[in-house]
Amino acid sequence: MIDLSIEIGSLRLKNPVTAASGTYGYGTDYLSFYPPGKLGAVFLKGITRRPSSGNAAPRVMETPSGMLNAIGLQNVGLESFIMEKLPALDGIEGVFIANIAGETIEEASEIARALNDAPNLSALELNVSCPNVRQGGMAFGVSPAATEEITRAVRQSTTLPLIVKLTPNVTDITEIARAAQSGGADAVSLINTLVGMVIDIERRRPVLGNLTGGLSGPAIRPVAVRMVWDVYRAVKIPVIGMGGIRTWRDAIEFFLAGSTALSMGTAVFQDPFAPLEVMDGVRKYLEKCGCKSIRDIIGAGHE
Amino acid sequence: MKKKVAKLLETHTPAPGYCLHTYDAPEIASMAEPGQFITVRVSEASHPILRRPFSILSIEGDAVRILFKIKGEGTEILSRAKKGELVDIIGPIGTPFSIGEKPAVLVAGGIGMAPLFFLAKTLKTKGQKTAFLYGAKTAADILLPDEIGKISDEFIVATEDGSKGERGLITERASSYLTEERAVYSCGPEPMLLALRKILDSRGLSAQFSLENYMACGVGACQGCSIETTRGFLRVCVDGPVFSSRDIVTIPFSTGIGGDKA
Repeated sequence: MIDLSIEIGSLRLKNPVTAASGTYGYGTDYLSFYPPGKLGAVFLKGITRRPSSGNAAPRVMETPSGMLNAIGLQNVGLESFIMEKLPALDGIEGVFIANIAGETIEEASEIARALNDAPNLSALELNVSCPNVRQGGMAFGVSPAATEEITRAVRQSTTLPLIVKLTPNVTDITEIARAAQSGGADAVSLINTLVGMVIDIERRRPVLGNLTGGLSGPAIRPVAVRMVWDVYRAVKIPVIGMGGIRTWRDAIEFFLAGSTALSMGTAVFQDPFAPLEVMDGVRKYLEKCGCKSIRDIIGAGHE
Repeated sequence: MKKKVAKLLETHTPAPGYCLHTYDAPEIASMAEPGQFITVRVSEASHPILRRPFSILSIEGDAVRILFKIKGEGTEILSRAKKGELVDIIGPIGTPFSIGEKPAVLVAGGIGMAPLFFLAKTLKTKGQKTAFLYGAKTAADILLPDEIGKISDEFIVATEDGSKGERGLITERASSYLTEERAVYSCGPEPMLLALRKILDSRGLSAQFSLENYMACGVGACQGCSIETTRGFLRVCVDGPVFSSRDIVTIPFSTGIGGDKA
């Protein structure tokens, strides 16, 4: 029997394959396919203090082996999240993690405090990496000092395990990861999307309403693997890796690079069952190489 | 909504540049209602990665039919699928047309005909009177005319070049049908829907419009297909694709579901 369980701070997941924030709604959109409890965890849609309507259409566009999105953190806001979305998870087995984004440090702390006693949550993911909003988002995540400051403030506002989600749109992601660690993060998750653009040559204008969007999917995978590799060497806290994972082979690369857990998103759009197939493939890989636990290969590429 | 690996029972070219697929999918067929759609996985590889949404053209027993225009990489790949192949489909998805008691007028533009075909067929079985108004660029873009003739009480065609039916836009012919006594349903290019809405608004009427947009997840999770409405941003995939003409603030794209812009 292969042990797929992993630990992120005080959070124990029965398996390391999770759904990335923004790709799995508020946890109930894929219920007609399989229960979310089959996944290691579900990172819920990012929420802000107040409801947000997001960016103008079009918001998504397919690109070579990937896609651009510029949703712009459309979400129901903190109050509806607590009053409606979290209670909707009552009775649904699964590990749910809130993703929070503040326009200011105070706002992020306020959201964290409000969620501390909210139902059905196992951890918080602090979003300092959304490329599609004007305020907050990536503005924090491109600065080590700002990342450390907001992480520390949120750390002091919650007793839940705290994961900080990092942007790849920086000169050196390891500096940002170290800053999150110094601020008290229990883990870092990476990478968020890479900023990109597609231009409609007939209209001679960018396709997306927001002009730019975040690139995800297999196209970004080698970039993500490299960043996970670097961050694994730079910090002591666990790394949750993501970026273009579609098959179990991709997943193994991330574990070898140093991911303790991983998230999938764009691949779930192609096939909602992809995470379960990845889990199965990872288990078989471990069996074949005589490993007893997923922990045997985490960071093994560095040995 | 279910995910099924369905056998492609039949692939047919109703006119150059178009494709009609019939899938064996009993469970999806049993749940489907007019206005709903399916998404199809077009590649096993990493590209093209997004599923393509297609309005359900009709349900024939255990089979689900879709009709699409070949206009991009995804629809091109799908059009080459051979009879007997297995195809990964998810459906039925979305909020269907709401069917009332009034006689119906269906205004179709181009490939926007597809969801209205299913609606007309359903109305026919309910014994309701249906006028099917169908506009397209040329005679070659008027698809399945014989079948439409059988499921409608009145069938009116207009083409922009006059090669079939009347010359001109279908909205011009539709005007006299837009009355309080009729239920109006439409799907088609943005200019057509905007022109229809102008007439409807001026008469204090509304219609049910079926819209499309680029989609990523196609199940309501990602908010990628949201459009601006008077009730806030709503997802075309599950809050729609059918919306009241009164609620729509922006119409994102120029064809009914069945398009492929990639």
